[in-house]
This record gives sequence, structure tokens and C-alpha cells, in this order.
Amino acid sequence: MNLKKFLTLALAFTLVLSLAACGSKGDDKTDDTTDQTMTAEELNAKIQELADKENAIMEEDLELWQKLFAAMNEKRDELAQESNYGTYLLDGIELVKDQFTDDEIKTLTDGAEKIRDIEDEIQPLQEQYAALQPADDGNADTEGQAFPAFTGKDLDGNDVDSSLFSKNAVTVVNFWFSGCSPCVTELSELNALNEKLKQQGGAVIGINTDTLGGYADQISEAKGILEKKEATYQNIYFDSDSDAGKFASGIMAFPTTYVVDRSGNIVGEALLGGIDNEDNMATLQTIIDQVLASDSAK
Amino acid sequence: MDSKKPFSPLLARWRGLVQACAALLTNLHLPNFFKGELYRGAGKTVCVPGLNCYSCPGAAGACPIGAFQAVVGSSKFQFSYYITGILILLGVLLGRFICGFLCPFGWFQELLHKIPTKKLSTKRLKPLTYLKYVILVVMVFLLPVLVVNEAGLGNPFFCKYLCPQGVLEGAIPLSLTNAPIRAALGKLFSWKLCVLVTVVVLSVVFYRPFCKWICPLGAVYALFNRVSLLSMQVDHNKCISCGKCARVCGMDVDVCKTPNSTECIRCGKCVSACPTQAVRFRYGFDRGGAYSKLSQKTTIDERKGD
Repeated sequence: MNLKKFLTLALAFTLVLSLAACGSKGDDKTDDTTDQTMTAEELNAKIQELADKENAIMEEDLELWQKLFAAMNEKRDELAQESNYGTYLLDGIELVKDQFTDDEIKTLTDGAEKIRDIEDEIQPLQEQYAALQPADDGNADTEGQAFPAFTGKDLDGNDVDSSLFSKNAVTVVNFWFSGCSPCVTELSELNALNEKLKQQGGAVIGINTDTLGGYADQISEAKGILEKKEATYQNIYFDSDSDAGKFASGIMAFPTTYVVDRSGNIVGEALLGGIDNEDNMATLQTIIDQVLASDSAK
Repeated sequence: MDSKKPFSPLLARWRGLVQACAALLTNLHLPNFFKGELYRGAGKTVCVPGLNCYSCPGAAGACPIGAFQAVVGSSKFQFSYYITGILILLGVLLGRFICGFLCPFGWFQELLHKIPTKKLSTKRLKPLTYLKYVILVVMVFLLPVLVVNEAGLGNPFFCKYLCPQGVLEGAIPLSLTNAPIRAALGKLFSWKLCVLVTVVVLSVVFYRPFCKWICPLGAVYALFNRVSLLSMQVDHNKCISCGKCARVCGMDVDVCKTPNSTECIRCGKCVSACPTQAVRFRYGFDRGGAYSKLSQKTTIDERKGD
């Protein structure tokens, strides 16, 4: 009988504790709002909103902007480093204006000026956001860490190594495996993202963990799935005993997506879940935008 | 194990301890709860007997129901012979004894039921006990096999949309210690948290509602209760028809009439309740079921004579 009472008490206690544990997350948030003017999430949402505005400006005349980026890319060495992306664009327009008509230059300049103003708004927000980050979560384990080095091949047999990050301003690394239904579902979205990032100096890289170690049947299965989903971006594999292989085998939820900058460092936390989910895509886009902005500022 | 030193009452009395040990052994990798990681060693290639989420940080093995869905939902296999084999083996060796003694989620519901409130009987809800077979066939087998994407991959429907154990053991502990997982919680988590809360609340007022109505693993073992080596045995020469066994049974089974009912989880409450020690656990090929069936016949005959 005493045992029963004890168990009842212990259980009630555990329940109370678990409820308290669930409640604490909410409490933290309210604390944040009183201490700070905006919580990290609000800041993030605001930054995202402004970034969306910038994107909207470009989307109005997407082809024209793409033409500009292509032209600027050729003269990238002549461009000075500029912390404001809008100013950077204005410099770029100035540099390549002979390739455009006056009307086009006017549209581009107007757009770039608007972007410059929006960037001026974003930058203090990003600083606040960055200041909040370390306090936000103690265990951001991969944030800022270098993506482990590797040498391997892509699924078509071409050699690749970790220097591939340096070719792009931003690289989205997606870990998946052939038997993972949500992973396969998002392949088409990842392919669309890759097409979009190409224009902005970025790329998507897929890593199918079944193929690590280079098993021929696993590779052909992965290729089959990619073909079915019409995903054409590069998928790579490396030795499962390598640092990157161990890193990959440490991933316990799929799909997991990382954003890596030009210097090969992971930016932001691992994103768990498919980007066919709007919230996940928004989170990923925010990180991509941050990396693109800081890369163009360099 | 024979009647000289009665083993059955002892087993029944120490059931709580067995349940606690089983829950601990099933989730032996305790440090993982703090690290927010999963154990992924060789143990995970084997199934634990009870309903225990693979994604519990401490889990030492895989959940049979989860593993079954993962295999039948994959593009390469339509049926999981390995898991089915394990389930048949466990079913024949122990049947729903696993529910009563070894399943962590069954234990969890029982502990909740100890919270002192008004308790309600589930006798009138008997038709709901067939729901678990529907869930087994539809959510664990048919949907994962039939609803597939272009790569031939299905979803583990039961795990994904219904199983409260996954939230309790997987999502909640992992999200507490693992920031990326916390960030990934969405609508599905909210829905399943509602399922869990419902099961928790129902468990306080009803005895093991999930086991009775929902659990597909319980449904598998239930089918084996009749042929399982472990069975209940009622000695009708000792039975005084006091009806205590039926009254004390949380699963609404009358052990005298149907000792091997699909609903019996072999908890042994009837063993403890019986004033004449007429009810006991029986293990083995020989007399077990046959003996009780025989005595069942005689009681029916006796009643006819009444």
C-alpha cells in the first residue's frame, strides 16, 4: 500500500515537473519581451519581412536583374567591398552601365536605391539579432563550425572536395537517404532552390547517406530517385570513415539541411524537416539571405 | 513452477517491479536523455517487446510497430518477414503478458491510473476494443503500403499521425535538449501532443484506454493469446464462483469464462484476488490451455444442469 502511495506521489510530481518544463519555454519568451525591445523571433520575422521586400523589388524585373548580376559577376574583382548591399549594387550598376539602355539603368538604380534604404533598416536589426543569439540557446552545436573536410565524388563520378564551397557565396547542403519519404518529397523544391541560387551565386549540394562509401547499387538507386524527381543539382559522396562521413552518420533526423558560406563554415543551426514546408523554407531563406548579404559585403 | 510453492501470486505481486525494470531495460541509454541524442548501435536492429519509440533517446531497441511500418513503407519491400517473425515468436512465447508486464506505455498508463480520482468502467465501451484491429490493418499495414510517392515510399501512418508514445518518449525529451529538433516542431507535433494529453487524461479515469482500444501491438499479441505458451489456468475444482476475479479485472475479462480472452493482459490481478488460488499462470505446451478448456466445459455443463 505504501508503495502505491509513493508511486502515486512520484507520478504526480513528475507530471507537475513535466508541465513546468513545458511551461518554461513560454515564460522565457515573455521575459525576453520585457527585457529587450524585440525577441529574436520578432527580429527575425522583421528581417525576413524586409528581405522579402528586397526580393519583391528584384522580382518585378527579374530578367533585367539577372542580366545585371551576370554582368557584375564578370567584373567582380573591380568591385569594392561594401557593407550595404544596395550601395554595392549601385556601384555595380555604375560599372556595367554601358551594357544597358537608359531606361534599364533607371529601373535598376531606383531598385538599388530602395534596396539600399531597406538594407539600412535591416543592418541594425541584424546586429540586435546577432547580439541575442548566444543568449538564445546554449547548445547551438554546429553554428559557426567549419563543415568537415572531405574528398569524394559526385554521383556521376567526378572528383569533388571541400573546396567546392569556395566557388559559391552560399552552399545549401542537404542530407537525405533513399528510403526517407520526406527527403524524397522535398527534392523538387531543392532543385528549384538550386536554380534560384545559381542566379545569386549559390548552389544546392545533396548528400545521400546511403551512398557514403561509394556503393554502386546505392548510387544508382539515388540517381534513379533524383531523375524521377527531376533534380539536377550535384549530389556527392565521400568515405564514411572521413570526418565528413562521421559528421553525416551523426545526423539522426532526416532531411537535415545546412547552410555553408564561401569559407566553408556552417551558418545558422541545422534545419530539420523538408523545405516543402513553408516555415522551413522561410527559415532557410533567412539564413541564405544573411550569408549572401555578408558575402557581398566582403 | 508447480503448485508446491505458488509462483503465480508472487509474479502478480511483483508486477510493478517487473514493469519498472522492463521500462528501464528498454530505455537503457539514459545519458542520451541529457545529450539529446539517439542510440543507434546494433541493438536497434532488434525489436523490444513493448510499444517503445525508436526515437526515445534511451531506447535500446526498435519498436516492432514502427519497424514494421518502416519496412512495408519502403520501396523495396511490401511485407516485413523479419518483424512479423519476431512478433509471432513473442506472441507465441508470451502473448499479451508483454502488455501486462513488459510494455513501458502500458506501465505509464497504469501509473496514471493510480492518481486518486473517480474511476469509470469501460465495460460498456467493449465495441471499441475492435478499433485496435482496424488501426493495425489500416494504419500499420494498408496505408504505408498503398499510399506511396513517386519513389515508391510510404509513410509510417500510425507513428506519424497517432502514436502518443512517440511524442512522450521521442519528441518531448529530444526537443527539450536539442535546439534544431525544437525548431522543427510544427502542426504535427501539436496534433500528437493533443493525442497524448487525451490518452493521459483518459488513463486517469479509465484503466489502460490506449491498450484496450488503440494499440496495434496489443492487437497483434491479442491474436496470439489463445495459442500462447503462457496462459491463464482456472482450476474449477477449487473455484467457488465468487466472481472476485471478474470484478478486479481492469480489462473487463471474466477469467473463469474466457481465460484466454484477447483482452487479457495477464496482469494476474485475478490471481491475487482469488481466495482459493484457483487462478494461476500456466506456461508450456502441455496442460495449460487444454486443461482450462476442459474445466471450462465442465462448468458449462454444470451450469446447464443447474
